[in-house]
Amino acid sequence: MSDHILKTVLYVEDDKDIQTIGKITLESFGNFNVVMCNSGKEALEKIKEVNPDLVLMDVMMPEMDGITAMLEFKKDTELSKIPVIFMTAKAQVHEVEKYNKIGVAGVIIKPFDPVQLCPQINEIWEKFYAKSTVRV
Amino acid sequence: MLNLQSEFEEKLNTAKTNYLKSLNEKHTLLGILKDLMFKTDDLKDENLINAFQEAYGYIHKLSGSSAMFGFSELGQTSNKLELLLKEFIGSNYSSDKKIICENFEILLNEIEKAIKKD
Repeated sequence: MSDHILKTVLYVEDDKDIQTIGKITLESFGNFNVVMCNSGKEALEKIKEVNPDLVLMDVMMPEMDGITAMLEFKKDTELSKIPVIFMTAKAQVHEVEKYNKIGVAGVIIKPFDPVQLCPQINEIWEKFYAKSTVRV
Repeated sequence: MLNLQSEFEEKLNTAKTNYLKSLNEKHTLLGILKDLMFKTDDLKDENLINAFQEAYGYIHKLSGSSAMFGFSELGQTSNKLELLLKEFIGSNYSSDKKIICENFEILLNEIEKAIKKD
């Protein structure tokens, strides 16, 4: 088990329907404090104020996509430490390789199973901090 | 855990009811886009290109959300159309338009079925 506690999730998703089901799931099963954003641009504006433990982000979004937002986070020393999980239907092998190259903690494929979402997040979270510990 | 499950199911049912209401709007909107997409073959017509782009965006979202709300057939139908549209747009609007029209019709029927069923 990681010593890091997953409490606040910045959930970035432009589709209102998926936002609804994602938020219900994260709050009910994960007991997380969930802060919503509609685009990568909004996430970039809010992330310092929210100071999340984890960013859960769609890839295809208007204004600023997930990849661009993630690359912006990486420019900031503090923000670059926050694990980012992409939630996307664009999960072909070459696409996932691209996400890994820019340093995502993990990828969850959409459509996701609400019952499985929190266990998947926790698994990625544990792996992320296990890796970080090995690096140190 | 049981409480959690029932609380989740209650919230999910409310969300599903709202989603079903929104399917009506989606059906109307996609019907309008379909008319725009198939009334002409003139690729210089900006409305035609915009309609395809907009339809692709909506169907991508529908494909992602419908399965999560338990409408698996709608999810599959919209996913198939999403891929066809992606291919069509990628071919600079030159591949077979008829198959898209047919699948669009299937999708509209599938939305109607989902609305009636629940």
